[in-house]
Formats: sequence, structure tokens, C-alpha cells
Amino acid sequence: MIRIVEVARLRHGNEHRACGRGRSAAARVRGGEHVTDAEMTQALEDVTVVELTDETGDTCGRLLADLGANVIKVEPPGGSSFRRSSASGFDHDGTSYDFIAYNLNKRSIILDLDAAADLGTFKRLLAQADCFVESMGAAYMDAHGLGDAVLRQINPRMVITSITPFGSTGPLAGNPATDLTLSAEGGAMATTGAAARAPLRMAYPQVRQWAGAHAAASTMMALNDTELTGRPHRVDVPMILAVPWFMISQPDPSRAGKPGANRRGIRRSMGAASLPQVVPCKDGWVNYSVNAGPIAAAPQRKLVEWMHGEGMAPQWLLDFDFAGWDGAKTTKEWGEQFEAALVAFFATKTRKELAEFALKNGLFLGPVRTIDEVINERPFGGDETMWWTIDDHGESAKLPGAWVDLSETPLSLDRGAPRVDEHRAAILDELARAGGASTVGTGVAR
Amino acid sequence: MTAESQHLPLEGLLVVELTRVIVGPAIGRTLADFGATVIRVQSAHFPDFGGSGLGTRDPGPGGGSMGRWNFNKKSITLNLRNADGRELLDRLLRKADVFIENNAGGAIDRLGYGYDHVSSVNPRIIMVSTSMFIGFDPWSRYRAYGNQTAALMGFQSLVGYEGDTEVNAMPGPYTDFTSPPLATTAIMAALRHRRKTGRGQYIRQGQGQSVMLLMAGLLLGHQKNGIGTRYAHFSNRDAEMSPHGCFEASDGRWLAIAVRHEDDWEALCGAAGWNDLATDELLRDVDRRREQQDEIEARVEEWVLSQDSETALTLLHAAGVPVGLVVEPDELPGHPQFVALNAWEDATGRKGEHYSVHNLPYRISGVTPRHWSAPTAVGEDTFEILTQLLDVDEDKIASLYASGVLD
Repeated sequence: MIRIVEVARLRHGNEHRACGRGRSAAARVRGGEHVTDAEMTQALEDVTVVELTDETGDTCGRLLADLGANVIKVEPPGGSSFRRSSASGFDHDGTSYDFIAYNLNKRSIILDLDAAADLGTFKRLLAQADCFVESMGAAYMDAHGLGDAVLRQINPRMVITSITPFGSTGPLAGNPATDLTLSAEGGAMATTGAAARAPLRMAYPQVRQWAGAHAAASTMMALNDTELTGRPHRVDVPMILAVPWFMISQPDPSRAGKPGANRRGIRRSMGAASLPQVVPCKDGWVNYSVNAGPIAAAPQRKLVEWMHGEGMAPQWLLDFDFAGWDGAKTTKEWGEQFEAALVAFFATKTRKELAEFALKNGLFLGPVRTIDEVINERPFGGDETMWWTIDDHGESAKLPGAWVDLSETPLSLDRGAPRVDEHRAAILDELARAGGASTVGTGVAR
Repeated sequence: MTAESQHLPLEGLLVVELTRVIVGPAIGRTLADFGATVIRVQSAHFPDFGGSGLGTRDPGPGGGSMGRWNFNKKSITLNLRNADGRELLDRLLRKADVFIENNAGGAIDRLGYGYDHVSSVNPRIIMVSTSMFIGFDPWSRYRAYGNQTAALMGFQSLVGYEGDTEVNAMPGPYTDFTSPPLATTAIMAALRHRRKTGRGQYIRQGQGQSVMLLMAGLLLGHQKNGIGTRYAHFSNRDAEMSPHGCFEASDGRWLAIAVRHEDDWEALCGAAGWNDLATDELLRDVDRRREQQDEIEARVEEWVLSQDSETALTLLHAAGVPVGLVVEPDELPGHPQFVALNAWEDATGRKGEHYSVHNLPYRISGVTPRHWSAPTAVGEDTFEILTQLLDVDEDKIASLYASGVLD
């Protein structure tokens, strides 16, 4: 038997702002009820996520919101601290552009968890939720009487996801951390930068993005499992674990040698040679993966022919057998000569010319582009379909759009980042109509 | 292991891969770790990344640097240039829940296994195509590693030394690592949608587009204030925190130190014994500290250099100042925090092979990822898959090999 529960439009409340696609009324499914809803236009339209996060935790909810989830952002009085923190500047109201970017498609309510009434409302919200994502830390949660035992009593089935710097166990658990310190401790900085200088991190914070993506994937895996089997799940996402996933090579503890040995700018080894990964050219830089072996023999042969056509291919390079090249046997001297020949030739070519050659011939080469270029030039910039547009105090501004393309349930921008407490009335109204009060503390599986 | 910890959320899911190198296999590995049966369809005509040991009959214990993407999978060889080989793949896809391919843009369609065909064979399937770009000819056919994609999409304009002009970057194929968790999130959502509606769908990921989510805020802000330009040569400075940087200790180790606010500043001054700075009321204001950041960071540099890294770390931890040791990649598996979190573990595979597993970076309660196989030799499971999954008669198999169907 199919039972469809028609409820308030939890996603949009009273202020539906469609961006290109209509919405049918969501068929809200509780617990393990399997309801066929041929009208689902968004993959997660019947999922409610309650989010209690700072800047380290917002990306997860953004991903789920883009997929259609009803993401309710609970903020403290005065709003999330992330509204006032930015690596990208602030809008006219003093709201962080980073906050805006990672809070699209969410709704906001202020709840003062130090006040009994608001804490009660928060618990009623949790009782209705499918997922709860927090990055406030165990100390904060315990101090507000929101430890795991309490959360489970409030809602035996919801997925509880905690994003923390170091996880809940180990010598560093509970320590303060930032993007910089996590990049260091997680191994990313050891390989970044010049050998004789300080290790570097990426100037725009990335660790929280990596962790957020993993948090979304694991939260969804857990949600599916709960819905299929009834098993409730807690998901722990220690941000530091996300960092080593960026290493191309497996670590070899027996090789733990001189610190700094792994840092050599953007260069790579080929046998005994040190080759550049990034090569200067006439108007900037190109990233070029020099490759031994059959995969790159033909395009690299063509590159040499191009050089030869302009009188810039030394005889030894013309004679070089790319197809039979065993990378492991490359000598230091060969590397130096090859680099010199490349640099001399690339100095006569623009990034555009080199990129066109690479595209045409299958060479593993691409231009190093600036942020300006990414925003304004193809690929990506200059193509409207790649971007979502929001209103920034009467001016339009664009952000990267759908991060994947789903044929049946496309991602969409349905609302911009919420103003603080913007959706209070709608959220409380929905809560009242869903009969939230009666479920608090009953532990009834729904 | 208790019965509870043996539960795997993706048990019963059948995944077929037509993949190479990193992104496709990494998605498949994620699903395999959590219980899915993942079958790599391989062929002598589609060799995997050369030099890695993969795509050979003996990938070695860890499969080299590419091995970790192919733990816990099975392998069948099918010659897709052969009608019978294609028929076998169709039969496999008919049973599959998820089909992953990461060939260069357009290749899967030319092969005849685009979504039109695959969904006609199995309307419930979730097909995943992940390549550098979707759309944007000629970039959709761009043949590149994640290194080039990262450069193209501006991520190599975010690392550099102040006052310098050289390009720096996190080495490696950045987008190869940013793409899989995003694709996995979409797959999980699509599986849920399928459970509710009975319908499969096609997930396409342009890796160069997916990754832009990771600098969404910067792209938004830069349009208004141009802030992105200075990040190309920013050393380890921060837009807000000061002091903020990386400092060398007497033993040659580096420490990353970040002062988030007044309390951290006070704590740092206390740990370092800087009475002069501690009593300077004006320096409680981060803007004032930033004005003097060269001088302040020179003090930090001097203090860190005056002791070994362990001493400095102990003092800073005790003071509650955010600090990170710059840990070398080879030190990670033995690092106590990673040990506590079981980041790497030793496994024994189905052939008794010993190998080191790098676990996915999250922990789901009651779920222990199952590690039962190092990277599989090409075609290792052809016989089993043909006979047990595709109901091919054992006596037919010899002739299939003979006629090149299983190359």
C-alpha cells in the first residue's frame, strides 16, 4: 500500500524562488516507509538536515542542499561566526563572501542553546531531522547537554555527523587547529614549496572543503543504510584524515628520512633527473607532465617536430627514442638538457599557443591560469551555464554552479545564502504543524 | 569482530568499472571498502596506467602508487571489440547497480557504451561518467592529468612566496583527489532517489568544474574586490590571522603557527616569554599586529629557532595555541594521531598477500571497512564472474578465450 503524506513545502516555506525548474509538492517519507514518488525532482527533497556548524562545517550542508535537502542552519544569537570571517572579503552588509558561497540553498533560524526555550525548540527540530551535522566540538555539545546519549534519545534514527579537526580520539583530539596547522600536520605542506624555504599551504583554505566533501559522501552512505536497515549511525569526519589523501604516492615508513627532502617546488623526478612540472613560457607558465613510455611518445614526438620546425630542437632530442624511453634510466644530465631545450622553446610561445598544441595533439600540458582568467575566460569563465547567479545588494554576482550533472534530479540554486534568522517563522510553523512537540524525548522510532 | 561491525552499508550493491588511473578507480574503491562488489572490466586493449604495476598479471603487494585505488575489487577481461565480449558486458550491466567510467570525454559514447545504450540495457542503473570537462569543446576532449586541470582552473595561482614570481602548487593531480568524494555523494543521492522512484540516472562530472566548488567563495569575492590576485604570492600569510606562518626549529623541523584571536596572542606571548609584547595593549588588535607582522614574525622565527620542534610543540600545545608540525609523508602512518584514527592498517588479502591499506577519511559507527584484496591481477576473476554471475557454462570458457572474447 502506498501512503503519501502531504506536508508543508518544507524546502521553500512561503518564499519559493524557483531558478529554472518547477517543484512538485514533496512526498515526505518518514523512517522506513517506502513511498514511490514519481514526482521527485530533487534527489534529497524529502531529507531534512539540521546543521550546527562554524566555517569548518558548512560545506557538507551546502552539498546536500544543492541536491535538494531541506538544510536548516541553526545559528547563535548574532549569527554564525562564519558570517564575520572570510578569506574572500565581505559584502556591503559585512557578510563573508565565503559564508555566502558555502551557505547557498540553506535556511536559517537563530536559537540560543543557552536558553531553555530555544534549546527545547532545537531538540524538537532534531526530532524531525534525518541528519544532524555539527562542527562545534564535543566540549561544546556536552556543555549544552547535547552529548550522544541525549541526541539518540531525541532521535534514535538520525545520522549524526561530526566534523572535527582531529576526531574524538588520539593525542591531538580536542586541540585547536586551523587550515594552516592541519595542512602541516596532515602532510600537505611537506611537499609544497621550495626546498630551501618554508613549506607552503594553499592561500585559500582547502582542508575544510576536502573534509566537507567526505562528510557529505559518508553522511549520505549512512542515511541510506539507516533507511534500508534501521541501523542508526554516527559519522566522524576528522579533518586531518582528509589531508594525506592528496599524496600521489603511498608513504614508505622505511624511507622516513631527511625532513624537507620531499619539497622541491614544482618539480618531479624521472630516474636520476629532476624535471620541471611547471615551465615558464612567453606570457606566463604552463603545467607540463613529461612522460616516459608509450602513452606520451607520439605527442612528445610531435612537440619535438614543432621545435624542429622552428630550428629549436637539438640533434640529440631529434634522435631521442620517446617510444622506447625507460623513465627509470633517465640521467641527471639528460634532464638538465631537456629542461633547457623546453624552456628556450616555450619562451617563444604563449600559453594559448601551447594549450592549443596540447589539445590538438594529446600532450599532457595545460596553462597555469589566474583567478581573473578562470572567472572571465573559457573554459569555465565566459560560459554562463557553468555559473549560478545571486543578487549581491542589487548587483549580480556569480558563483560556480552545479558541481555534478544529474540527469533526472539536477542540482539547482533555489535560494541564496540566508540572512540570519531569515526563516524563523516558516521553520517554526512547519515544526508546529508536524507535531514536533509530541516527539521530544519519547524515543519513538519514526 | 562482532556481527554488528561486520555490517557493510553497501553490501549487495554491484558496481562495474570501465576505468583507469585515479578518479574512476577511487570512486569504485570507496564503494568496495563499504561492501559493494566492484568488478573492473579490463582488457589488453585498454591498459591501465603504465609503470604502476596495474593492468598486469602481477601488480605486486601494494600495486605501487596507483594500487590503493584498486583494493577490494574483482577483475574480468572482456574484449569490447568483439560482439560476444560486448554481449557479456551488457549482461553484466543488466545486473549492475552502478557503472563507472572515467575515459576521456566522448570516448565511452564512441565505444557504444554511452548512457543511451547502458540505460536501455538497464533502466535502473546509475551510470557515472567522470572526465575533465563536460561540454566546452574542445576542452571536453582534453586529455590531461589532474596536474594540468588544477593549473587550468586556477589552483596553481594560490601558492607562492611573497615578493616572488615563481609558480608553486601542491604537487600532484589535485582534481583527482577532489573529484571522488563529490561523485560519491551524488551516487549515494542517486541510489536513494532510485529506491524511492525506481529510476536510475546519469551522473556526469566534469572534474575541472567540480573542483571549482572548492574556491567558490574566492571566485565570488574576487569579482568584487580582486583579492584572489594576491594569493598567488602570499607565503603562509592569512587574510585575517596574524601572526600566521611556518617557522623552522633548531632541529630543522618546521612548525605551522596560527594566532586566531587575542587569546591565542596572549597565550603565545606567555609561552614565548615576550613580556614586552604581552603588555603592549595595542597588539591585542589583529590589525595592529598585521601592520607589524614582519617584526612580530621575526620574533616568532627567533623563538622557534631557539629550540627543537618537540619542545616548541609541547609549549604551544600547553598554551592552547594552534600549531602543526610539518609532517613528512613517510612519517604519517607512524604518527600517533593517525595511528589512533586507524588511518593506515595492515591487511592480508585473499591470496595471503600482505599490504598496507590507507582507509577512507571518515568513520561510520558499526562499520568496519572490509579489506579482502590487494589490487587484483587483470582477469583474476574472469572464470568466477562468467560462471557464477553470468551463468556461462564452464565448458564454454575455453572457447571464449580461444576466440579472443576474453582478451
